[in-house]
Amino acid sequence: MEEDVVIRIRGLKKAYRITDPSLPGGRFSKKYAEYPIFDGIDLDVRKGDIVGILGKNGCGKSTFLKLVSGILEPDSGTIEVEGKVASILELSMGFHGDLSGRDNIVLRSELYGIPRSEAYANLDRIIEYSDLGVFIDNPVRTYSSGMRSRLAFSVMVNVDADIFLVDEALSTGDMAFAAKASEHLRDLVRKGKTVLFTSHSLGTIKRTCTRAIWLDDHKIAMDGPAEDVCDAYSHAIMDSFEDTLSMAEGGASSAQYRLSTFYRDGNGTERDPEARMKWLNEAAVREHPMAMSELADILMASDDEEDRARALDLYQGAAEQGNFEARRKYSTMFGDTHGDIEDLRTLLRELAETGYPYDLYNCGNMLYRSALSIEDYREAFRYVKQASDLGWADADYLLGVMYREGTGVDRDIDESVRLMERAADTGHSRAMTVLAEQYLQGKYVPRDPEKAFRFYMMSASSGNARSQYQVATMYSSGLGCEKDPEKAKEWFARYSSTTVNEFRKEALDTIRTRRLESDSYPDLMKAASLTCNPQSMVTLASRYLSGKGGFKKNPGAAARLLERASVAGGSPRTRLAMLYLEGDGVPKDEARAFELLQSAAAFGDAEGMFRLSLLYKEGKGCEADPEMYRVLVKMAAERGNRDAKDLIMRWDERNQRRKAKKH
Amino acid sequence: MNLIKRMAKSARDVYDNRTILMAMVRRNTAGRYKSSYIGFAWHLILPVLMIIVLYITFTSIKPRLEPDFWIYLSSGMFPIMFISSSLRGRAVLSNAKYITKMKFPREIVVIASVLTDFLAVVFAYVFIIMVILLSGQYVNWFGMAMIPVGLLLMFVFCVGCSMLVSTVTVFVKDIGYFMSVAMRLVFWITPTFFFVNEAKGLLKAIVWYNPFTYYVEIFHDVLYYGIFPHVEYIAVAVLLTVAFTFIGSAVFFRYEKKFPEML
Repeated sequence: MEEDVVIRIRGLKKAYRITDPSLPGGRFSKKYAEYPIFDGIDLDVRKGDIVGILGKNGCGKSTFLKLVSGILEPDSGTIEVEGKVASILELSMGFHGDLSGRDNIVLRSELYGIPRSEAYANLDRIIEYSDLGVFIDNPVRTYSSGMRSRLAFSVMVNVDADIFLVDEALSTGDMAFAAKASEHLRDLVRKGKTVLFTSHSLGTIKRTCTRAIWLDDHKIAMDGPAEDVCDAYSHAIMDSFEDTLSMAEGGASSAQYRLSTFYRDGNGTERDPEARMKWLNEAAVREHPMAMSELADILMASDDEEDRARALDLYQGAAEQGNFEARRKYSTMFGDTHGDIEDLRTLLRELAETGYPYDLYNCGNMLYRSALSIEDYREAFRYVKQASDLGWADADYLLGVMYREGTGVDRDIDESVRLMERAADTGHSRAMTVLAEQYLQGKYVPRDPEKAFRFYMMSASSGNARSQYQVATMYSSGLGCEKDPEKAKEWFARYSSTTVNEFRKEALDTIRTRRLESDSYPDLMKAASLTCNPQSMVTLASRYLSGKGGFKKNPGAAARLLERASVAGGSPRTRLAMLYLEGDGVPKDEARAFELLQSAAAFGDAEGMFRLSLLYKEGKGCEADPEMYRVLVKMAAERGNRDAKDLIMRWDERNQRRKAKKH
Repeated sequence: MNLIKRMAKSARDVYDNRTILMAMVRRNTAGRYKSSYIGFAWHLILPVLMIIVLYITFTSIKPRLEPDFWIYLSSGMFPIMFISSSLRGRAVLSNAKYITKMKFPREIVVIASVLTDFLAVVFAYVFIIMVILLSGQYVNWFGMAMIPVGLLLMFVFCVGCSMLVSTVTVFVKDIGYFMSVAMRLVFWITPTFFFVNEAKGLLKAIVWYNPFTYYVEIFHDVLYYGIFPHVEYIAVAVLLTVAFTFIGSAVFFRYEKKFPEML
């Protein structure tokens, strides 16, 4: 062979026999049609190439690898391969669910032909490489797909071969590991090995490969530098259903969203509302802004209060990513729920006059979220800036986002980073993770794993499960910090226990929905509130108030919980206000109750509006104001508050009776 | 001649890839009884319980005048249990993912699947043989030496048969369903719970045409009658083993290249 060429293919032809019902022939004399897969392929692969193989489903990517590995034989043409080929094509093949990760490593090594003794000798190295930490002794059936592919890839690392053929490599698994894995592939190539792999993820191929081949129409449609081939390919497939489906299954959020639109419009497939929702959900979970916005539209139509709350979150999330559609809807929704949005703006502006940083931030935030014009953004920026200058961490973060995106102010990355770092230093959790991600990926800022590590560490210390996981993997791979398996293990353990708390929360939800009163109920509830989930805190608080379900009555504890939960929205504020009104667990303070209800109403809490209206009626904590009373009752009724609706019905009845009397 | 060369190559391949073979056997057995309390002991207890159940059933149908009927029953039952579990013909089908995604000598999946069943039965069989020995039975030690030979013959025979049946099953799926019925039939027509001379009518006509009878009778001769097995039984068993190994290999190696496309 020519120098350096390790795989030489000449005139490769391969056809599959497929049964074709349209052909004549009965049950026992089936007729087959020849379906050509490859029709004359020539290819040279040189030592040290990392070749990505692209193409839509059924174009023969896997068949191609099978032919090179010798599992299939060509109909005609030649394939010469020089060197030892790693024998397993599919990384995730053949794990035994009941065995632990450790046992599976040994088993898999043996399938690669590595003797048992050698497999055991390499075990520690593989485990360390896999970053699976404490999970390595759990049965593999409990692993997520990402963890499985980590495990599978790690085993491959120890296989001694000259040519690696991998079907669907690196398509699952988290970012940090994918980076590590492609690093490993490049490393192999530096050692003179050759890698061929198929993937649906164009990103992976672009990042990892030196060369890409696009298979289409039984031939090599394009062969060249990975970057060029990927670009050409992605232009060609945007409109194809099958391609989108396979990419969506590979976890690409944009493909998932596109797929949901295909299902919605019956484009290239049957209309299928269920499939549409499924993919829309998938894409929304991956924070695809359009998907979030569309899903929110659907959820808004639901009667379920929780769905609507989720819709609001989704709009907000999409809006944060700069989706104008979502921003507009978010603000109109605010309009719906708050009567007239201008009223709310005015109210918040008035509140901001007081100059308290919280109110300034609140006003700025609301203006930012509901902004429709550049003027709105500028105004929002002014308020947020004031709040930030007074040292309000939320405002620092939001201002950071605005500087980064250039909304309401000229874009200024340095300033953005400075503000976010300040927010992070004062304990703003979101700021920490956002910064850490930016530093890790080198997005907006130069890549700096050490800083990334520092911020992940901060966030992890404050109990964020994802960051804990990240810190653990960074410790075990030595990214941005000294390699330290002990600490890695420790953080894995913390991550596990945090996730256990999440599990408890789930358990709690189950109990709540089934209205069971088990012995461990109080424990579950307390555990749930530790997760700082406002919903859990509110539930726990109401238990403390009612003294039911194994709890001792403890209004003081309830008040503390509500105080903590009140950052999250209207409902806890309303409840807290009721405590202040009654002097239950806290000193009686009507003025404070009034303030709380006012902000709860501003958050759109119907109950809060109704209660506030009663304060206006009775002049508690404020001047009596019959006009405000009537307006608020109406607003509460419109938002579905039953007491308010009753009241309005009685008013209507009274009015009618009066009219009747006059007549 | 080509076939013999191919078989020799296959033997070398399998030996070179014995790590894979053992890994597959381990994978097949791994996790069995794993989360039960007595775990591994089930490998012993289940067959013994089954023998007890069969013993009670068959002695209730017809009281047995023959002494030590349990020895007769168990010495024939284990071989037939092995044969019927290893000839279900699904060795290739159920390992489709290995065949399509991994480059290795494909006969390994057949050997591994027969070996898995073999080990499971042999383990219990050896235990029962110990019990028979300890029960103070008369033992013909020359005959005893034929037990491993009989087991080996039976193993090779089953590998050959399984290569044939598993190959056919890939192309004609119906055979797989048929085999489960056929194996049930084998259980009833092989002299395990009846004596050969008791067979009447149709059974009497076919009992010596049943290839499994010869294997089972070897074990009966040694363990129950305490004699060196009839040489003609051994001769027929050897012939059958050689014949089926050749037929099985011929079919398997002729068609194995098509497996990845058919699965």
